[in-house]
Amino acid sequence: MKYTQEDELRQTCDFSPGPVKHHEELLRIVFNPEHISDNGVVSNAAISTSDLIENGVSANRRDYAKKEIIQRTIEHQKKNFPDNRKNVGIAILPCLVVRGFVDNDKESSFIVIDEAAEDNIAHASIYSAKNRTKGQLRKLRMQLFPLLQKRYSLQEIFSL
Amino acid sequence: MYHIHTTTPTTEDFLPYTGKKVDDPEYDGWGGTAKQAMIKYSVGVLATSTLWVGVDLQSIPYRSETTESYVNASSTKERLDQKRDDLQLIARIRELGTYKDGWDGLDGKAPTHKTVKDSERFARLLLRESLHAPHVSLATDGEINFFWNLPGFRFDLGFFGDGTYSYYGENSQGKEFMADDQLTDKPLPEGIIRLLGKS
Repeated sequence: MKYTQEDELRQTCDFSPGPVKHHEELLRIVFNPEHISDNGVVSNAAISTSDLIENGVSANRRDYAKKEIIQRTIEHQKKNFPDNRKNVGIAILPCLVVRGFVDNDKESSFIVIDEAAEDNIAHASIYSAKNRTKGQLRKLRMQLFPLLQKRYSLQEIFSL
Repeated sequence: MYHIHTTTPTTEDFLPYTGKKVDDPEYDGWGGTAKQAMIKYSVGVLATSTLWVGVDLQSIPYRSETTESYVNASSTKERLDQKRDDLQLIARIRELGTYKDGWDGLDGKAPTHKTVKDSERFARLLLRESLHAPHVSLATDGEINFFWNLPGFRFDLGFFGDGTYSYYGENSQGKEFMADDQLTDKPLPEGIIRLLGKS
């Protein structure tokens, strides 16, 4: 495991705004048409089980996110899917809700880690709180499923 | 060369027995008046040891459909319907198999050949007309994923190319279904199949 629950309280680096707090909202870009069915439902495959263990499910902390940085990420992905305009969306994942999910043993499903980078201090990632089997990781991403369905445009996010 | 003529058989020797003669309009074997069939045998024996048999057909009862140079299926069930869920699913899996690394514009992994094979093998085992078809997609780690979002049941099943699959599902009453390391030739439990059913 890359991180443990204790790492939630750590600040990653000097330019980080600090550990991710419970009240914060995380912005997850949902863009890939691969993961969106014809009726607009985001599939579980939008979150890879490997990311939950190894690389983290990337998100931006809304309190520190810069519109132009998110715009750049969206534009970069648009190059690969130029016809996909209607499915671009940003889901809002409340940190308190994400950290509140538990597994069948009543242990935390997720940890939310500050992963600030010099070119994006808002970067954070969601991980599984412990090592789990593939089936268990599928349950975890099923917990996130409802949060991914309501999506907003970039303009809406920064004007709400 | 010798020609040997046997006793000439009649049509009734070949047609299914219905108790009616072939000239009878109510003869069931052909649905109507049939022609008399006269078949001659001719057998030639070469001066060497080769024996050949030829059959000259003067006329035989026929159905007009079989005399055409092509055959039209009498119903759509007799030819492949490209709208069939199983065929579309297989096509979708194979389409994912053409994706290359970086397919998502970032670090998305292509599925391995084994992942495609495993998915296809399972799909052929699973799918029948009575089941809802899944949404099939590729996760960024190369997993081929089958996802069902049904009114009473949500089900996530996927393949990584190690010869197995894993799944998790939950119905509207909160009952969970979870498994790891299921061999791809092992079908889903009947309880899950019922939840995926169309009726």
